[in-house]
Amino acid sequence: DDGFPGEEEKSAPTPAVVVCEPEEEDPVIPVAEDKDALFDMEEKEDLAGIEDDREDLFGGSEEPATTQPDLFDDDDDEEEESSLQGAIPVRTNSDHDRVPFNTPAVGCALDDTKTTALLNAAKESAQLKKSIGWVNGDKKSSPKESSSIEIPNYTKVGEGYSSYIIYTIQATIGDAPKTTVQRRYNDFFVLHQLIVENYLPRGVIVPPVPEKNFMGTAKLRFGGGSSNESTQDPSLFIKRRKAALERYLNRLMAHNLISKDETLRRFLQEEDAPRPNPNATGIKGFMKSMETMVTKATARINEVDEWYEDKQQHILEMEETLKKILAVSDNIVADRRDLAAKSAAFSSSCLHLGEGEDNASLRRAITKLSELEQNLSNVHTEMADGDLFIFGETVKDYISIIQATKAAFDERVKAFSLWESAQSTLAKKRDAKSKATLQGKTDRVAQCEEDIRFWEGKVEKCQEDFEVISKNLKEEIRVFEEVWVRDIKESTKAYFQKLIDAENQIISSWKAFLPEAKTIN
Amino acid sequence: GINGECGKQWYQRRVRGRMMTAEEENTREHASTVSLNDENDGRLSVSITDAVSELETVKFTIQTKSALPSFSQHQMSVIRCHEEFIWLHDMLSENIEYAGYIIPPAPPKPDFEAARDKLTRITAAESTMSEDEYKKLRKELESDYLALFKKTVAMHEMYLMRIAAHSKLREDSNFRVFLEYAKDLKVRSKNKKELIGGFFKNMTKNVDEALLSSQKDKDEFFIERRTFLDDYHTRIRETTRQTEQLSESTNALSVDYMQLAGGFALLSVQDPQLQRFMAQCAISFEVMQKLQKRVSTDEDLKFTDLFKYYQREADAAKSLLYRRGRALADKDIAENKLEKAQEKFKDIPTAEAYLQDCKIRFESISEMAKTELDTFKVRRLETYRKHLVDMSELQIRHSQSKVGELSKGLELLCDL
Repeated sequence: DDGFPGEEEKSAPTPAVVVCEPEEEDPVIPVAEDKDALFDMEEKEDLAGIEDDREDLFGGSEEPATTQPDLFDDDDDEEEESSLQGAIPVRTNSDHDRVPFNTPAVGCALDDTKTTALLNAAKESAQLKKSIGWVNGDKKSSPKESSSIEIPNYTKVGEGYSSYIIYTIQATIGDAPKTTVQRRYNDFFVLHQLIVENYLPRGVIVPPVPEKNFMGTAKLRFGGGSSNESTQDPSLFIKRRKAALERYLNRLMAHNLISKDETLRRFLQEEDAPRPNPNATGIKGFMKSMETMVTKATARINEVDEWYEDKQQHILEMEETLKKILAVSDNIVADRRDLAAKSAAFSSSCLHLGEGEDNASLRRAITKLSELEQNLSNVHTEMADGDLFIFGETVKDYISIIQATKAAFDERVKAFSLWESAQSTLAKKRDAKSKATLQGKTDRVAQCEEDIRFWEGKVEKCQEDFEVISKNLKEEIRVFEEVWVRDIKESTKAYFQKLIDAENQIISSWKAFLPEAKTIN
Repeated sequence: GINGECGKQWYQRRVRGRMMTAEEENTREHASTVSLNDENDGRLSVSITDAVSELETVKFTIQTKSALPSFSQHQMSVIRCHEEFIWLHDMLSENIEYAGYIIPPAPPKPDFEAARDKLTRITAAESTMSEDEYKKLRKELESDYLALFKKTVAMHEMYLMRIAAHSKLREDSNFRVFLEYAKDLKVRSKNKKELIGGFFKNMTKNVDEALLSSQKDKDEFFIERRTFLDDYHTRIRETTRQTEQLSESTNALSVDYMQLAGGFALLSVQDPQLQRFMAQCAISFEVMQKLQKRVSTDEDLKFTDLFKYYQREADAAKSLLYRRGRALADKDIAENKLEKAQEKFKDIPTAEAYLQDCKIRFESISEMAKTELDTFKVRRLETYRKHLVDMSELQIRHSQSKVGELSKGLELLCDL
């Protein structure tokens, strides 16, 4: 009994077993509620020496399977039904996918990278399998409910090093009553990781979470320093983060698929925030990320459709331009704040000058000038906020979103790599069979034939997955571009309006001053 | 290159054209003369109608209309350079008959060095930037240059008008020569010896002033004026500094607007769905840049220059007080000399005559000074008034233009 389907001539040294048997009976559909059923299937295999590790390697949450509305609940879905749990990629049906991927093999089969690669290939394809359902479901799935998420306020909890900010989130989804929860930044970060795990492999452009910011947080914790500046800094930091978090949640809810995600809904509606994936850390998580790096081959896709290359090029260009614009925007904010400061300084020097005037009307006029400049200073400060929040933050967001699109493109490349490697393995199997045939090792030949059938299926599946992810990606990009155009137009128009308002205020201030200037006598 | 003949002509053409047409509000508005005190009863009006910048110097065309008998013609026009203005100032300062007047402060030397440096840098870097960028920088430089130009013209003009408005100074023969004499005054800038001489003169003046500050003055008016001027001088110097910083800060924003316009233009080119939208945004922000620049220039012209000018005037007034103090000290010395002479019974008539001279001199200076300081106050009020009113009107106009452009842009954007 070989451990490995024809891979090596000698017997496998490790207990990890991957056995492919031709399947006679109908595959059993694992039901979401009955998590144990998954493992039951496993036991049918010949898993010598493997401990039945109940821990779900992919397990999203620690909670038992919840009643998740079936995302693929769609009459037209030709594929087998597969009910989906939140972040748990369930092993779906496949005639050929008999690899018990959620074994601890990953943990103990470290000495055989081929096994690992195989296991991963299986794992990946299991995940990708979901996307087949999604694309078909997309156009006909239940319409996205309208929603609005707000973060009306925040509070600081605790003191010093252990202090943090709690944000209050109000969510109104569809016709459901408004819900309110409390979350801290880290909860958002965990949510993001869970969503990425779940959706990125399908070619989804996952909205980026506002980044971690050590300096800002440190200031926050130890803030309240001596000068005025440092007390301003933390509050500006929080304001920006709060606004960014709000935008983040709204973007999630704006995504057709993600908005229905169980974890996200839990995040928005339940008291306790979703917990991170336990396998994300520790050795298993490490292995997983290693594997990700390995499969992230720089595969050169022989593009049938130039669209992908062109788009990537276009997106890179866009990124460059946006970075330039962000730099300008930052300059504008800084310069406007400086202008506010200089106006205020000028204002106080005018006051000083006025006091030194020996003529009463001139003194009054110059004092009024001082008041005027102080008003202008306030207008400039307010406008600086406008520069920042209305325009700058939007640009910044899109630079991050572009990173997410790059990740999605990478996922497609990964899918392609898997396909390629499956093809090459298939070729090897065929060679092995020929060789065995020539050598007259009949039982070996049979084994090889099994392997070939397995890998033929694999190749087919990988190709499907690749095509699906390509299709998804195209759609995602289409939506991205739509939203980008809409967003940037809205932001720019709002910015224009804010500038108009500021200038109008400037006009009123000067108009108020003008009669004063005329009275100098 | 710019430093060659064609460069010279380029600047000449550009600047002259601007001066002649009343395109820029600032040109228009400063051509309507600054009204000083009412001593200018219309019998003498001086204005700078043209200015040309050659490589190292600026040549001002000065037009005079005079109903005064002392002038040989009713209308005349001459070309003067900055050094000739300084010559005039020196002539007036050194004339002891004018010791009791506030001698109008000389206009500052036109300084285009910063602009020239910038130009050299830009032309040197021409190959490294795109044609668009180069054009934009050149344009920016042009407008900087133009602003500097207008400033220096305004200040030279103000100087002449100030003299023309002074009932006694305008009768000065050197002033007439300055306005009338068709040819070059053949004035050269001070050579080294003269510069050093002037430096020492200033030094002794400062020392003198320090000694005189402990003088016992019996006249309340002058004591009070002294205190006021010293204090005022300090305050206005601080305000001048703040204004300069304000104007620079305002200008920085205009540069940003230009860059933002550039960013929008890039988006317009790269993204077909945003092509028209962003093109409009780029246009709007280019206009915003121009307007913002004007705001900055006006802050410079109306605020900075105003305060700088009055700093100089305050200095000139302090010089007057110094001269008076000097005359007072001389009178005291003369009195001592007379006493000594009377004791020794020697040279009494000489001493008496000398004392008489000093007395007359002191009293005439004091009287003239009183009038001068009063008119100084009035002049200041008027100038401030004009500048502040002008500034308000200009700012309102600029902001209204901004609102106009942005509103128009926004309307267009809503359709795109």
